[in-house]
Amino acid sequence: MKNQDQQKLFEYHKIFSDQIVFSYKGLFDKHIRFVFGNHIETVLSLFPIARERIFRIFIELTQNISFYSIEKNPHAKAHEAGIGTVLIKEYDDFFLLITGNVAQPEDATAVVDKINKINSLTRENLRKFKREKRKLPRGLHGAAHIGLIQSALISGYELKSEKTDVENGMSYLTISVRINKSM
Amino acid sequence: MDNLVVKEVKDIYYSPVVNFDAQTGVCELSGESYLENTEDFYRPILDWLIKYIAKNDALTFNFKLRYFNTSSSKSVLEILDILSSFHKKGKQLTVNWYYSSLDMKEEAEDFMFDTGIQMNLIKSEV
Repeated sequence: MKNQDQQKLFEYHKIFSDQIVFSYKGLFDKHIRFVFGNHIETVLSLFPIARERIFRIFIELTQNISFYSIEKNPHAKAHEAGIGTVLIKEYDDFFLLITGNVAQPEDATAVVDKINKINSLTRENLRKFKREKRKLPRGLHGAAHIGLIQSALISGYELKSEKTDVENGMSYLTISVRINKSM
Repeated sequence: MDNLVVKEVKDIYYSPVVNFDAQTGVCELSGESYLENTEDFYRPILDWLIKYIAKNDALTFNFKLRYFNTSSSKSVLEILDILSSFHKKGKQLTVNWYYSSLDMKEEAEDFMFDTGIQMNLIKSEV
């Protein structure tokens, strides 16, 4: 008979067994990002355009997990100890990159609001929005404030986001981005 | 004035190749730019350009970047702002932007819009 952890792992396996190119939950420090970034480039070598786009989006979104996830790895450097989940799923014509992490409710709401704004803009207005944001002074960790905007521009599709209330008054934030296999 | 040469590093982060020639006035930035301390890396580059344009009348800048993250894109904009001020003084400026993907071509168009610099967009396998 399975113990509780084994059962949970089995459920995890069932959820993530279909169409998965890549899945990981854990710390997103610079070493992990580098190794996984290279791995994604290698494993998707048959899709050169999608591979480059996924890599660029992966770097932007996982940096956010690294710096802003409330769930921390106690053994990592404090400023990049964030824990999160990344999945890349493959469909017939596209890949879906999905990230998830625990966040402060107000931070999660701010991200969802920003994504709603991004999704409401035409491509030309989104490029204009990016240019405006890029002129602002850098934020924490040298941020340029345009990671989500850039991800939407690279994707060419709406970003999907969802905020779910979890224990301890926190929220779980997910973001998914579609990347076509070809132009 | 000394040349500025920085070799590519592709370790945990990626830093681009920097090859600025003070004698010919040809400056090249190539490779990939994904850095931990973006401002620290680009500060000497910006300083070199400011020093160079104060004493010279012509400059050619070749961007051959295959990839840069959004933090690096802000530094690219800072480089272009310096070049723009040089051009506005009536100095001779040529900026070539080599691109291998439409995404990188679009980046160049946005930089041109921001800075008013007319770059030569060159399709290439950078």
